Amino acid sequence: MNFIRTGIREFVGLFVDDWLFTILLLAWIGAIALGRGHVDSGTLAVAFFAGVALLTLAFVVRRAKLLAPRPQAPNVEAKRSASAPTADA
Amino acid sequence: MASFVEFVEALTIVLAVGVVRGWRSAFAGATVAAVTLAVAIWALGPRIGELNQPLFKLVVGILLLLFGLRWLRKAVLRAAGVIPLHDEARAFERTSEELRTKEQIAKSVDPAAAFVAFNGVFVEGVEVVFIVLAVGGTGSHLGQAALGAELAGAVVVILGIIAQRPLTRIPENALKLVVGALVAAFGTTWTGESLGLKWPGGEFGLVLISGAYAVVAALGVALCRGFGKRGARA
Repeated sequence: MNFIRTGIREFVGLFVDDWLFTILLLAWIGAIALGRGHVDSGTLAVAFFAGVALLTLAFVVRRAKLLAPRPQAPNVEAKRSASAPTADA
Repeated sequence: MASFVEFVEALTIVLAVGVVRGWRSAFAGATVAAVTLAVAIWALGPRIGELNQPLFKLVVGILLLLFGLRWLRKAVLRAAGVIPLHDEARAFERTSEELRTKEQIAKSVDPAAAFVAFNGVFVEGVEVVFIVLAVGGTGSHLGQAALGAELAGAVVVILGIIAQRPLTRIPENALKLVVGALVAAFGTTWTGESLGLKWPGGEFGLVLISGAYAVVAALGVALCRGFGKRGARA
């Protein structure tokens, strides 16, 4: 049973690295599928691509924000080096 | 000619996978797809035309879209400097381990890459079968249509062997960015087509979407560059 679970988890991991992105992408595909009868298929195709492109850009920026180090890090280092000689003395 | 276009599309995916993730994975995926397709044709015969193509295309399209966008996002973050292109310190510490990994990459099969190559070859292969059945069936020239498809396939394989070497000279991250854009474009096109959407540009829709994803990637790099610089300064 564990073997199957691990296999499924690994297979899903090949395609999904961000669950929120995947869920929103699938929701967008669902929304496009629902709009088929109401909107012209050419317009819907452009809307589909535009949505995927926007989602991709938004999540790239989100990841960049998460990965970028905090700007206050140098201040912490400065405080540490300033307190070090006092401790030695 | 129609079969030739489908074979070229399959070749694009196999070359993309081969250059980025290793030729062993690409060939493994393509070979398994070709064998699966051959078995399906042998077992089902002309009934293979009854396969639910839109549903099949939708599932494969979504998987390709997820896979392609994952590559594209990572390549954008690397190009913007948010993720390092090469982690020198870690590379120094783990040289022997990396060498072993490189050897393993060359020898082993990457399941994700093989799966993408499999999907590309299998979906395009099924489309070739549909074309052969449609052209050969309506004119009662099934043998001639199959021969035409076989010739187209052989020409595309030769083209692939010729194109393999020049592709390896392109810088790694630039290649990953292009491959991500291409795989995402295939995923977008197939998902859209399975939903009945009509892409602007007709036959050139795929090229237009690939170009549009390249523009999105360039925009992403420009937007994330600030975070990369901030990280470098800190």
